[in-house]
Amino acid sequence: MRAPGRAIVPVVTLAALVCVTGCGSGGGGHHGTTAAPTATPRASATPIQPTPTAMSSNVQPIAVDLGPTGDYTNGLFTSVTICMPGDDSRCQTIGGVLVDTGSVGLRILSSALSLSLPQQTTASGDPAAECVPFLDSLTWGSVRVADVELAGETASAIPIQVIGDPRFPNIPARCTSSGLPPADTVGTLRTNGILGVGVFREDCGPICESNGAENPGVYYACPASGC
Amino acid sequence: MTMSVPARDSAKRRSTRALVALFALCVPSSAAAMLGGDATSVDVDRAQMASSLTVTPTDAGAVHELRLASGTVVREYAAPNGSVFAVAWEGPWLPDLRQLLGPYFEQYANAAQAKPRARGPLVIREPGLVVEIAGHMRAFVGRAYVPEMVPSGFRAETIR
Repeated sequence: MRAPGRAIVPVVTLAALVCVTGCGSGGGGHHGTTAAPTATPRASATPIQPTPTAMSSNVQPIAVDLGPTGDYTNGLFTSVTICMPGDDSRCQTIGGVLVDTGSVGLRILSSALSLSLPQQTTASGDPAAECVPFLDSLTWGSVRVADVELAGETASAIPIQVIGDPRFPNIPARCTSSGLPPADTVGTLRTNGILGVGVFREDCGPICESNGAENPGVYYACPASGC
Repeated sequence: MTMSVPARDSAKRRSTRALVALFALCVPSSAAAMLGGDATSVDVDRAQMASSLTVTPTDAGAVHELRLASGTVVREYAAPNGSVFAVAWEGPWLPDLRQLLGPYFEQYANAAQAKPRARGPLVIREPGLVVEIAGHMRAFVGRAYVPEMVPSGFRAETIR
């Protein structure tokens, strides 16, 4: 039915960004990701942007608010600074990024991104793209490389997903076999990005490096002929 | 009684697949799907999704459990007449729902498209189809069933 070896990339997986602040510390103490919730429940429908004011090092400010579309409920948002790999003079701070404890890795909406980040390629040199199910929708888009700054610390040259990248408009049939609709605009994603904070180091892990039937079809190689 | 049919040996699997394909040619209505299909569609699914199969007879028919190579487990609930009235899944990634829901896939996809997206559990309750998906990345659970096909006395909430 499928040709997993052709379309699916046995390479990159998005790294867990929790490693920016806590990897290798053995957990506990002040090495963990400590956040200062500044919940401000309001009746207004006006979008409330988080005000990222680091109180001390290794603290990532977060806020419960209505998100960039002004109608998000029960959402935790933060701001993330991303830079061109190795060049901290070309950076962009993106607010309205959802903090998501149900996923792993950083995903930024293409329309919220002004940097032209380098494309992650597969071992054979093809551009890599990713398809991720999120229960009621999926994110589809390129995998690009960025320096990501969180809590005053930098994760250098890590892969992130650029959701709705216009360079790869056609979603592979294998990806749409979930039946879930793509969320690739701020209107449908309802955030400017998703910062996954999970227990895994990668979003998919070793099974996505396989060429066999067990490969779940999360990563795709996208040569000019299509993904 | 539980019958286990491991699909490890690739030659055996190929021949099984060929047999299933031949059989599917003879019975075209069973080749496409799963939900709503007859018991032979379970074999088609097994061949398509490269998995092992365990069949457990129950009072209300049989549960066909498919273990996909991806680690996801799919259970198909067949009524005494063999028709598959429900499917359920759990595992690190979603199964191929186009394959699994068969003729009900379009209705499901259209209903999912129409709902506001919030990255929360997906619950679709329509005449003729119920679909629920929950969990999170690397740990999904879900089920789909056709209420009209559920045998009388069978409690839909036990589909899992």
